[in-house]
Amino acid sequence: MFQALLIGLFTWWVASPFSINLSFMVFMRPLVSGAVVGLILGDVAKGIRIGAAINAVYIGYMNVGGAATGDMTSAGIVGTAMGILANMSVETALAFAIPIGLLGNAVNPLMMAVKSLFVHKADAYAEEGNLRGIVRLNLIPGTIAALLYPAIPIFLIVAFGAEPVQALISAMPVKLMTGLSVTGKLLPAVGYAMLFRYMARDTMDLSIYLIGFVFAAYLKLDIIGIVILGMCTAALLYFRHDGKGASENVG
Amino acid sequence: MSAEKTQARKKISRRALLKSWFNWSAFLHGLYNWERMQAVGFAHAMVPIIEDLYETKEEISAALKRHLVFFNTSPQVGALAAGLAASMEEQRANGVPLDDDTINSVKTSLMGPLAGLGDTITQGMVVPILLAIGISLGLEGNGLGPLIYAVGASAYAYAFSYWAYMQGYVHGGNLVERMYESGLLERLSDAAGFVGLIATGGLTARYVNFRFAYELKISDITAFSLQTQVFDRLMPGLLPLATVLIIWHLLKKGAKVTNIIWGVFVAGTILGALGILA
Repeated sequence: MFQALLIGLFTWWVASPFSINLSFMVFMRPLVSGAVVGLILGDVAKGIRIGAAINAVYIGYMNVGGAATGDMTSAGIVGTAMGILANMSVETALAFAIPIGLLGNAVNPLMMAVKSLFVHKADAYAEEGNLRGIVRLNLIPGTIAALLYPAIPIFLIVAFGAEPVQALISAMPVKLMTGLSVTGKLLPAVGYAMLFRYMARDTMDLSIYLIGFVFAAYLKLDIIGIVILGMCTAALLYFRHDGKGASENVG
Repeated sequence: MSAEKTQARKKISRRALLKSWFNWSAFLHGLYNWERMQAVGFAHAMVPIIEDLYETKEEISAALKRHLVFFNTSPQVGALAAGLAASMEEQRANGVPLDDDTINSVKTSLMGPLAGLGDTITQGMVVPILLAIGISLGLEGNGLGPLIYAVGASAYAYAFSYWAYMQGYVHGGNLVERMYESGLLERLSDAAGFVGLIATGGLTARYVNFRFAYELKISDITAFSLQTQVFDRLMPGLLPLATVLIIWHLLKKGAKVTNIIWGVFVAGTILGALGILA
């Protein structure tokens, strides 16, 4: 119970403005939240393993203008906590986390809509020249909203969910679990397609993407090697012609 | 430069600048919402600047209203817009005729290009690459995985936003003009996009791992596997690559991400349960 409370508080902090914007960059990533949840529950190594596996699904996660591929916060925290408490394998915990992330993704836009209601209060403060009011408004509604979702639901799931979840998992047909884990292998494709869609200016950019693919698939280069190659090539292509006209020689 | 002749030229204190940069970096998404996105966060970042420059209620109220308009950009690179806004407020407080419309149009014109460059660098390049390193260690249960990621991503977020904010403040509007004129913004964006694209290709090959599992039994001892006997001979990772390209095509056609995700979820669960994919 105490551990569930700690996990709930951690979730609250992560989703609130007081995470000083490190939630999106750091703490809502399952790789990190899994480690924290593992630490709270006394099994760091397993927490890290489950968190890393869940995060592999969300590696290409993008948020463009509020539209996202999933709710990493709840997928990472609930998936890891249930994985440890209900004694699941890493694969089972991953399969369990996937629907959680999808459901959470449906709630987040609602929270952004609720926050819209407070903008008019900001206009009133501006009218009065109330600087403290603006600061309060930027911090407090977001903190309360984070308590309502995701902190309280996640606290409840972690506090009371282990037994029902364990029962649910063992009652689930093996085939369904296998199916869910295959989904976990397919979902990263959506993230990469989004990244690719976002960065490709035209269809010609497919060639750059394919170069990276071939380096990894055929030549088995790891990602750092590919990035170094990419940086060198990009520097030659886009900055070489500073000063001298070397760009004609490139083709 | 007539403003410099007046004796008490107002200058934003170092302390106020640092507070403004911190408010931006830490609380930009405090009240992130559909109606005006980062507007309240932007105004919050401007609070220390406004406190420093203005005294009358009218001035403060007008300044707050200026910065409560719709705003949305990429947080780290976008800090440049906040620094620039601070510099414009400073000029205005010194009598330079910058009206509300001018300040807003400068801010608005920066939103798109900074979001494009910033999302490419942050979400397209830095985060996936750091994650790839952290996850490969984390899958083995190695605590260095989350640690390297957490330290790297935090350092990037704060160092980059500090640099961008101060660039915006020090160089003001000239910086933006110069970036456009020299084509630097575009070239930086292209270069970051290049690295991001090549990394995305590599990540696809490494992190999308499913295969065709169904085998056709020809006799009791021989079976025909589409995966090993056809796909693997054509190209390693053919199925994952094809899947990414199909989804990319759907996105290009305007399909909604949520629908695609649910589609993949249902299709993956069924095909997995039937033993067609593994």
